[in-house]
Formats: sequence, C-alpha cells, structure tokens
Amino acid sequence: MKCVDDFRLKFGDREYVPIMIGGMGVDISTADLALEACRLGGIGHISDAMVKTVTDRRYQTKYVKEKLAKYKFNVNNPDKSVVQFDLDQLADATRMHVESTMKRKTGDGMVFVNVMEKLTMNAPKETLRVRLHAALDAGIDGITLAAGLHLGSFALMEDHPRFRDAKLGIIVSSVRALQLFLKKSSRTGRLPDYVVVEGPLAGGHLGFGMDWAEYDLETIVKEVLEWLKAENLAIPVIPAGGIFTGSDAVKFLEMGCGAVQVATRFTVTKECGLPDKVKQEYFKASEDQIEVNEISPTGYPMRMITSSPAIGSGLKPNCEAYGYLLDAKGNCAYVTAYNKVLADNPGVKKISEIHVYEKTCLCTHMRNFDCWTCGHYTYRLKDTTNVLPDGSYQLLTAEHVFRDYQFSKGNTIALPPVDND
Amino acid sequence: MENIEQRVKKIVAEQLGVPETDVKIESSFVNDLGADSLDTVELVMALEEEFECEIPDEEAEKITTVQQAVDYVSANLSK
Repeated sequence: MKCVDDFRLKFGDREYVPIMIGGMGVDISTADLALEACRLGGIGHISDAMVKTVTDRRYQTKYVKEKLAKYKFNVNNPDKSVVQFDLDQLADATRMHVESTMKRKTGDGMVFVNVMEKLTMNAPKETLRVRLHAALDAGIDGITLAAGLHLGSFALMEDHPRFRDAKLGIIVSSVRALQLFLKKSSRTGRLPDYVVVEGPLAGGHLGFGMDWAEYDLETIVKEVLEWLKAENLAIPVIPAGGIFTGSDAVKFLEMGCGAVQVATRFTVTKECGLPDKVKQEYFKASEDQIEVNEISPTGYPMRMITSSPAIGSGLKPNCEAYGYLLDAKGNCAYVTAYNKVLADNPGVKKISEIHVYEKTCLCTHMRNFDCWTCGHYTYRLKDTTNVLPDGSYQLLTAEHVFRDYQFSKGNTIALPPVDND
Repeated sequence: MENIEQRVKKIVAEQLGVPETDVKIESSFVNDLGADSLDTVELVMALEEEFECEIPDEEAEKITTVQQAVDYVSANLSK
C-alpha cells in the first residue's frame, strides 16, 4: 500500500513532496503556514487578497486608514466609482507581503502566491497587472492564477523579466476552461507549469454553478489528464477539493497527477490565520452546517459554515476603506443589495435592524474573519484531533497535518500527541 | 455570400448547440440561449476566427446578444 511520500512532484530537475497547501484569502493562508509547507519540502501559498489590509495588520502600514480618509466624503454615496486604488501603494504592499515571507524561507519547498482575478478593485486590468508584477519583483517562487479564467493574465506578465523563470499555474474546474486559457495564452509562447483542477467540494468560491453537486473531481481530473496526454502536453495536474486523507491523495497520484492541493485540514492549525475562537467553530461544524450559497458579490457560489456572522449581516458597505470587489464601473452586488434593503425599510435607523440576505459585504467580513468559508469536509475536522478537558478541540500544527497527509495509509488520520500547553 | 447576420447566427447556433431557428437577432446568449460564462468566451473566440479579427477583452464583455455581435463585427470589418 502506497503513501503520498512514495511520489514526487517534478518541476524540471527539482523534486518536491507532492503536497500543495491552497491559498486561503485574506491571510487565512498566513506566511507562517506557507513557510511550514515549504520547510517540509512541499508547496505553500500566501494570498494577495486584500493585501493592504494584511500589511496593515502584519507590518504596521496605514494604508486602509489613509484610503478611508481620502474617500470619506463618499461613504453615503451608493456610487463607488470614485474610489480608486493607488497603484504604487498596491505594488508596495504586495512587495512587502511577498518579500517579508520569502526572507524567512527555509527548506526545499516553494512558496507561491494565490492571485484572484475576481478582485477587480475598480480597475481590473491595471490592479491585476500591478499585483502580478509586484509579486514577481519581490521574488515569489510561483503564482497560482485563481478565481477567474485569467485569459489575459499571461499577457499582463509577459514583459516581466521573471515571466519565464517563475512557476506559473492556473486553477480550472473543467477541461474547457483549461483549453480556453491555453488558447488565449498561446500567443505568449509559454505554457503553465502546473494546473490545479478544483472540484465541487473545494473551499470558498467554486468554479461551478449551483448545480455543483452534479460534478465530480475524479471525472474532471480524468478528462484533463486524457486531454493533456492527447495534446502531448506534460503539465503536472494538481487536483483539489475534498482530498481529506493521504489515501485520498494517493488515489489521484496513482492516476498520474503531479501533486494534490489541500487546505481545509490546515484551517485548524496554529499557523493558520483564523482566530482561535473561529478555529473552534470549524471543528464544531456539523455536516448540515456546511452550505453552498450565492451571497458572494463575485457571482460565484461559495461554500461556508451556516453560523458565519456574515450571513444576513446588513453592515454599511466599506468600499471607501476596502473596495476590492468593485467592478470596472465601481459597482459591487452587495452595495446594490444593501441599498435595496435600505430603500425598502425607510424607517430603520439602527444597523442591527438591517439584514441583507441576498449578498454579503465580503471585504469587511473576510477582513474580520466573519465569513467562514470552508471546504465540504470541514465537518470531519473534529475527527482529526483530541478533545481537551474543557470540551474544546486541540489545535494542530501544520507539520502534524502535513506529515499525516505525507505518510498516512489505509485512509487513517493520525491524532496529534496530547498538547499540554 | 451570406451576410454578417446570417454568419453570426450560424456560429451562435453551432457554439451553443441550439437550432438556428431559435437564434433571433434580439436573443441574449445567457438569458435566451442558455449560455454559461465559458460559452460566451468560446463564442467570441469563434467569431474572431470566422471574421479574422481580434476582439479585445473589454469589447468582448459587452457582446451579450446576437445584435451586439453583429454590430461589433459590422463596425470593425468595414474599417
């Protein structure tokens, strides 16, 4: 019987433990978590989602405060088109986040950054270009293009000196999306170094409609592998979404996949950026508390824990401070939904009396760790640890979870040694 | 030679797998013809091939109906 450690992910002449920890936005995938994966010989991700908020918290910058001061005059205006990102600051923040992480790198693995196209930031192309270039400037090992088809993203990077040297990958949820990406990117004369195939059980935003349950990761992965083979393309395929044990991973590695991408099991590690109280919510969640809904303003279905404070919250949009989801015209579906509720309830004065169920203010709630996005098998997390005398669950270390994926056989999950901290 | 409208309708029908008779000049790809987000991207790429032109992403996003596709192609072919 094989375990994950019997396989290796190959990039050129380098070999890695075939475990990639997926990028979880707004500093849930912290530098600490990514660096652990790297130290252990695998691949970790940081995320550039809401990067100015992240550097404010981590590196004492004051970007959000400055932005809010600049646009304060607009907070009561439903039209947010005036709220723009300062591209120099955005580049500085991205470089700071990436550089500070890369400086601390140890081990034989790599650290990538997850860059989401759906963070349209009121100027989709310009802001995406800045984020990609700044990450490359700051020495990131690789970039995973996420949350979008990224049909133009290779072209946005092709004039960067590291375009051909950094590892570049794309997340797709179908062979069609991959075909479109390759067709559109072919002009740059560069293929992606890896393809993450994200299935319907993945965490957070999904690349499917609300009919996600009709799809199956294994089927999609087979289609992708067969198509790549037929086209004579040797690009490592990295499945993601619902891979909960080492044996789940081995099944895909035996099919010919290069590695697996996992994340949910790391949400309850000490290195993960969620507050400890929220980690307990992830442990406690039962199967019927995991839902896929349509409250994300991005338009993608999103999986989350039903007790997330973000659901039904009617807080005032904070685009003047954040504004990461404003489209090219300055619109966000939450701003529209919020103003509709306000118009329908003219007498309401207190924020606590306003409830918006149609959409959520994703920026604010992600920033405050109030939108508990998660993978389908979050309800199994309680089986991965010990219950402490006070009834709470023992937090894990990223190393423990990583090693369990790497060495476990027969679908077993190793419990951690009892922690007496 | 077929006119632009007929050629566009033919491509739309082929790409979206609907009978050509269902494709009206006012049809919306998503609302009337059941296209998903990938269909619309593929459709624009098929139009590029058929009419040997390049449609920039910003313009492509605005093409959501048969009429808009016909208008774009007409405007850019006559140049």
